[in-house]
Amino acid sequence: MKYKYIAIEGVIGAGKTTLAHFIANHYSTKLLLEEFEDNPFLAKFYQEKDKYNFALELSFLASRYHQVKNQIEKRDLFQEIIVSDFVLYKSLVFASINLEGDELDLYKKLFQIMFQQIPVPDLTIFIYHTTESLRKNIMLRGREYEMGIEESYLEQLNENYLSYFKQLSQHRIVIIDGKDYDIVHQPQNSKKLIQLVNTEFPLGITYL
Amino acid sequence: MAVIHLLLGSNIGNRMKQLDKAREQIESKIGKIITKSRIYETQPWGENEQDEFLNQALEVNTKLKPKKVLEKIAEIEKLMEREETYKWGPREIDIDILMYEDEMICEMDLTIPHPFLHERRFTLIPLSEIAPDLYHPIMGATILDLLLECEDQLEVIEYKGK
Repeated sequence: MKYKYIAIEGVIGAGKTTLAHFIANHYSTKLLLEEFEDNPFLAKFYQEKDKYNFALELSFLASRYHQVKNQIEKRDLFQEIIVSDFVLYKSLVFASINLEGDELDLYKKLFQIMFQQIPVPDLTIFIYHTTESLRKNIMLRGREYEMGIEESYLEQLNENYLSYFKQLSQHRIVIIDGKDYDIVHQPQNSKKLIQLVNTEFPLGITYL
Repeated sequence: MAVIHLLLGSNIGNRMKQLDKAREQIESKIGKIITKSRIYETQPWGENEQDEFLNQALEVNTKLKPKKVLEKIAEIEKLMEREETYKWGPREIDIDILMYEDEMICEMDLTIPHPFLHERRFTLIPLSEIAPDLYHPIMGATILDLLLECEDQLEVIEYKGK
């Protein structure tokens, strides 16, 4: 495989972890999964959203930065392939909706400083789903704290990602239709996925 | 009045003419060009079968807010018929906002300073010619320092015309 660092992205319920697992298994590569469940602010946040949203967003940013910086920057560049199920700017995409005012301004400054210091994925795969399809996946997955997520929130996340990608002219971003790469219900799709990670894409955005 | 720094890039068609036209459009839609760098030629990034890019950095005085500058740039690029779908492929003209005073902006559609400013010699070389002491508020260094530390290997040479 040509790419040494592949990141899978998508809105909540898009199936990032499933695809990342599959690619990593297929090539026996290292898998870097976002550690979000041990975030100490997550439970508190669901109790009192307004009080803990800034702390929650900051701790997500810090932990993603830490993971990327430690696991990806320090890997053996010539041997190790890494597949991850998140990118750092995911933090900005979410915080831009969840925070406002001075807190958002401060957050953005920290983000910009961190974003300049981390390695860029060789390939980013964004799994696009309509909001209805995301809602369905979220329901099927059944994580209690995700059940109340509204479609308008998912819509906004999709929009934010697609808008931010346009700025990332030095990244190689491929946008796929989640329906076409559902490997859980249609295992034959995995062939397409393997083909995809072996295709040479130009810098910028490619829509498949 | 704000001082902004822009980078022009073109790698298809009559590249020199396109840069001329872009500068003309910038003067009429964004503001007066105070300084311009020489024109540099760079290998294309990523797609090696493409033609070389010509790049030029500009210092412009503008009354417009950052978002408004972005809007005007989109207008100019559209006017000059840039292909939107193939973002890093051949292009008539590409105009990037590198800096807007010493502001830090981080929106879904606009990041200032430009997120890749410090990583690419094709940006740092023309910019350091006209603004070596300009301070990058996020990297905490001047443009000249950033150029000296830049690990990018792409060759950037002055273009003298053919």
